[in-house]
Amino acid sequence: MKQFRYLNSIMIFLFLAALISGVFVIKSESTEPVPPCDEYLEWCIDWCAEHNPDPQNYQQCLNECARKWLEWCT
Amino acid sequence: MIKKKVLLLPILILVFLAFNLLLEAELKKVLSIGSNQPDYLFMTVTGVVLDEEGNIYVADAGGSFIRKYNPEGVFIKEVGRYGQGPGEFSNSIGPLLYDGQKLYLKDDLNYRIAVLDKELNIENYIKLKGLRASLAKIDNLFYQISTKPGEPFPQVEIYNLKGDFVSSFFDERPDFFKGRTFSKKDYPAWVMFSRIVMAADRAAEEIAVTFTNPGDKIEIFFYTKEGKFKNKIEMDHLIKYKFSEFRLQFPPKYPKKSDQIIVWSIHYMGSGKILLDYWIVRYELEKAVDEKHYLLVVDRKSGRLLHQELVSNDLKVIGVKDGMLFGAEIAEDIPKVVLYKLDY
Amino acid sequence: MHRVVPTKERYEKRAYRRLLLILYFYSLLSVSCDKGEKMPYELLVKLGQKKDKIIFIIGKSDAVYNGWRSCEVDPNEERWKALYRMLSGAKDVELIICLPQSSKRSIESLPYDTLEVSKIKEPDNDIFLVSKDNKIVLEFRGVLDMSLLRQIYEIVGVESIS
Repeated sequence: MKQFRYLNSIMIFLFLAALISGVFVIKSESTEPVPPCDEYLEWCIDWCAEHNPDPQNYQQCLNECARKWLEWCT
Repeated sequence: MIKKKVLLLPILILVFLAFNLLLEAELKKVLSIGSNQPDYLFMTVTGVVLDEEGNIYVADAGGSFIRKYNPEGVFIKEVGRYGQGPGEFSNSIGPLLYDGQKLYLKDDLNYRIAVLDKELNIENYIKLKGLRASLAKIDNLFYQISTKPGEPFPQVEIYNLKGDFVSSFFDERPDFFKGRTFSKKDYPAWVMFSRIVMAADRAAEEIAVTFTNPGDKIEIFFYTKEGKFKNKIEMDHLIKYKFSEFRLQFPPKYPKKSDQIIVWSIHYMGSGKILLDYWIVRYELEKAVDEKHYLLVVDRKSGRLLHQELVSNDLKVIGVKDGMLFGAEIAEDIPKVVLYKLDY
Repeated sequence: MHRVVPTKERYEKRAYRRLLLILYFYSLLSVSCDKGEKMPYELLVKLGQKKDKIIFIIGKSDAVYNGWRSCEVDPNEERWKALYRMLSGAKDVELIICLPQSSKRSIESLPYDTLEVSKIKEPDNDIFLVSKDNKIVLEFRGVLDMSLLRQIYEIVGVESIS
């Protein structure tokens, strides 16, 4: 059962490495501001209108906004 | 008596011909800017304005820049790059306004309006809350569309030139919402289908607001610059139309056939006329099988339809001023900024 | 009223958990299998047979985006289109080939002058490497805005690929 001891050390090492890298991931500055949930849906709808002058693409884009909003913000 | 009739006849013919000419007037393209050369390359054009000399200013959200062209469409200058710092723009910029020798560019994701002079030097920034791609200005007031706190409905907010909130207005709903109770799960659909667009008339100091997804009729609401309700006009659709209520559930369950009407934008044309960017889309299940794109000219007072014109589906109307229409379109896979003369 | 959740934090935490999971499975897979090339070398050679000046844009097809911003439409899509349009109008460019990241190895030994634009990370944090004659001439981290497009154009349009 010695190999389990190694496994334990490896797991602890991996956990610590993941923790440190995780801190970096969370702390790292995003270069693009992200609209928060209370603004996302409205912003996304306007974004769709600006970027999809064709109504069908616009509607698909809107549905995508709604889907993401429901998935992430409710 | 016979003499009078003889005289009247050519006059009547002339009036008839003039009326026909008016109805058949077509948009005349006066300028087109765009190529695959960097100075003329566009990505997503969200703002086009002209100054008194005819110079053209273009804001592009995709490329995070603003450019100046001379009246012949020759490149003069470009400023901006992606970022949050001074001289930088997000990828969500527009609309662009021109007023009193200054340019005002809404930068949504940086929560500010960039104020530029005509040489594209940034003079200052006005901090503004809200993430809606809308901006209008009359004198020392800005107007922006936002969502009512705690509700899925829009309103128009008024800010002063420092970006301080002054007041808000607009309490109308499309007719298909009336008598329905809002449930939380339908929130996205209600936000989508209560969307509004607005236009400002600086001379008349007036704001016009209409629904992107109209109900049985097109309704246009008019307000004073302080946000006081003035009046409303109504007009019939070009087809027999009723808003399809299946859209109010999310995800929508599309029937075999359905229609959708979208009022993409509203513009003041001057001389008491309003221009609507109007689409009729026919769906078979969730697929659009026919899309018709019209420009409708409406009488400001009566709501009477004065003119309708079928235009290209590729044309994105951005602004209207002094008998000119500014837009963006893709021709031969190249995005272009286009200027059309409005002869009606 | 709906819950107000800071999107960035929520997203990044989820993304981080998923990343760990993906890394775990990837590490399991990578020890046993080698990733196959999507485009064979011979085909690449054939594509460029009659052209001298070729640009390979690497990474577009493998673009990883975070699935949140801009309605899950890659906000760089229009910029990539613009890059393509611009390069196709630049002098000394006869052919542009867009390849997935996995094909990168195939072009490294190609007998043609190439210019490579690599898109490595998600759209708001891409790393662009423009290399000419196997030397990196431009390295940029950020968004493919007009200013970067112009820099790439300078390399391609003003200096010819020898």
